[in-house]
Amino acid sequence: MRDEAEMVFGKSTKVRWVFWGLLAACLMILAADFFQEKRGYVPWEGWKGFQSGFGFLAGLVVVLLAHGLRRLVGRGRDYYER
Amino acid sequence: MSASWPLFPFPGMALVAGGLLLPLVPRGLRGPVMLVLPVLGLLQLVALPAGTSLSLDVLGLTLEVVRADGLSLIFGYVFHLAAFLGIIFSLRIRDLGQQVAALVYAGSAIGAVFAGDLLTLFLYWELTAVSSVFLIWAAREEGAFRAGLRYLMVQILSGMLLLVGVVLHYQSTNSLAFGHLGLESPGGALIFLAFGIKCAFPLLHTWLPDAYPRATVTGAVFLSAFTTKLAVYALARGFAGTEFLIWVGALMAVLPVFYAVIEDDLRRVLSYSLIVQLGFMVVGVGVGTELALNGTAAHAFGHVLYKALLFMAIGAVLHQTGTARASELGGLYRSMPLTAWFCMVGAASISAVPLFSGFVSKAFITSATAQAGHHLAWTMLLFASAGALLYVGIKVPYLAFFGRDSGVRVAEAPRSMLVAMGLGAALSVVIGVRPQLLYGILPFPAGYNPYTPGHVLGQLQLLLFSALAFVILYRRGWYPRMVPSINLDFDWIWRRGLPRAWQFLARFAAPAWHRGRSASGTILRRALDLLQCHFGPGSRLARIWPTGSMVLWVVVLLALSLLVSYF
Repeated sequence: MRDEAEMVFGKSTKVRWVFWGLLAACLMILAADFFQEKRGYVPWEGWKGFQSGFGFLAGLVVVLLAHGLRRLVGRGRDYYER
Repeated sequence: MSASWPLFPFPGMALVAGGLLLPLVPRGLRGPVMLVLPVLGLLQLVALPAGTSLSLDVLGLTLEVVRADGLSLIFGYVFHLAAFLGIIFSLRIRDLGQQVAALVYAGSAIGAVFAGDLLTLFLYWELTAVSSVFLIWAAREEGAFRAGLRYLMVQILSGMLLLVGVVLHYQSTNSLAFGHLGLESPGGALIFLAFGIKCAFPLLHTWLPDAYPRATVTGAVFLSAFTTKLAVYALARGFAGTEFLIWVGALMAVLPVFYAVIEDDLRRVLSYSLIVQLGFMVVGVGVGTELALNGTAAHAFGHVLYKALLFMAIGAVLHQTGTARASELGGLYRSMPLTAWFCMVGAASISAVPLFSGFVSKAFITSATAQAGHHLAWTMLLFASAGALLYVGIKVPYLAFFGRDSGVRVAEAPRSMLVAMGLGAALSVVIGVRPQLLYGILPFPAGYNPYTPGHVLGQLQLLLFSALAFVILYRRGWYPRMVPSINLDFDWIWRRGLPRAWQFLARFAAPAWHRGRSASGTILRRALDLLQCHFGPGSRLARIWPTGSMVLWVVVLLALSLLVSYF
């Protein structure tokens, strides 16, 4: 897995920089949420950190469900030509 | 009728007529002539005041062939812009068939959004279908030909449903006016279904990811702009406020996300993401408030531009490398840095990053959905926004231009393609930075400001944390790897399911049928033999009987009937 990640992202130092930089940005933007009064028409829109948690969970759900979908519907490129 | 129309009486006519006359233009002049046509059309629209109407009496029917109002004008403007960008992008492609098809297609889509009656709409509706298929067939491949046939059948089916719906509507109301229809109006359900097919409603959507990736490099740019947005316009005109559309749109926004994540062909990824964005617009139509309809119009405007930009960027990659498959690409930013930048602008726009066009228009729709109290639909749109970052915002530019170096080294895209992409990118940024420019052409007065601290912060949180999820999953190797494959969609039912069911029937039911036929044949033969035996020539009943014996038998029968009646 690590080899593949390095192959995809480039050198492992770059991977670490991207990850830690993004994590720092996430934490800063999450902290900003606590200094901002939030209002919304949807009840849960005003919860502190709602969009952060929702975005993260949505990312996980999309990718994990997509894995299952691929097993179900993935076929060879020549499936319809056969 | 306004007397100030300088060039052609009908919007879109400049492009349709120009397209049909293009073969008469010398080859060297075709490019400049094509470029002038959308500019003339746009000038015509600018001179066309809202509220203009032109009616004609044809065969006893009064047709409002031109009706210009706020809703039709914004779609007219962006269709002209899309045609202009598409023509610049395709200047290198000197294929007369494609050029004619693209111009007629764009012109007919423009004519359709200015149609004030249902019959005129139907005529333009069919013209878009017939002209656009040539942009798929122009790829001149067996797969493209078959996909084009499937596309044409679906589009013609949509047209037929529209025609039947229009006839039923006219029979009941004696009016062809194309205003608000509603599902309960006569023929309304059929017209709704016709619009739904063209708008790629769930389960009716498969023609889009089937056909668009098969189109030519430039054809896909034109296709991405017109057909589906024409359907959105038609829904907004005829079915605004239909609550059913909120759920249809929410499903459209969520379901294709999963396909877009696993798809290897980047133009198919863009096709699925197109359906997701249509879902936002359909939700806006379903909510039906002024804010929501402004959002639908604004999102259609911005979407036409950034989706065309993305199709241009991946089209340029396909043009230069010969492939648009993520599994065969990677590291192209070294060879095509400008295309990579333009692709990232399109990706930021579709992901609704603040200061890009998608942020402004999506904010209209999500706010209107929340204001109307549709909390579940709002949450589904939020999910789709997070997903958009994963499958287009990051995936498309990353897998094509960065990531694993595929070793492919090509020249940067041709200059005309870069100019078109640059203009598309600039417009996407301008709308994002100065949304007030867009507000001026929205169908209703817009007093909405998407750039509130709470909204910007919430959107940044959503995007950054879904990006974090992407990075973690990628590092762990859990993001689906791009492998050369296809993914079966609902069209499997009629492309494989039904033919297999027929083969199954043929294999198992046919012998039973033949056995049945032979058994019934035997019974029939025996029955005929029996009849032959008793009624045939020389048989007992065929003999000539004496009159006396006939009378005798009649008397016997009468006596029997008397006895029966007594008891």
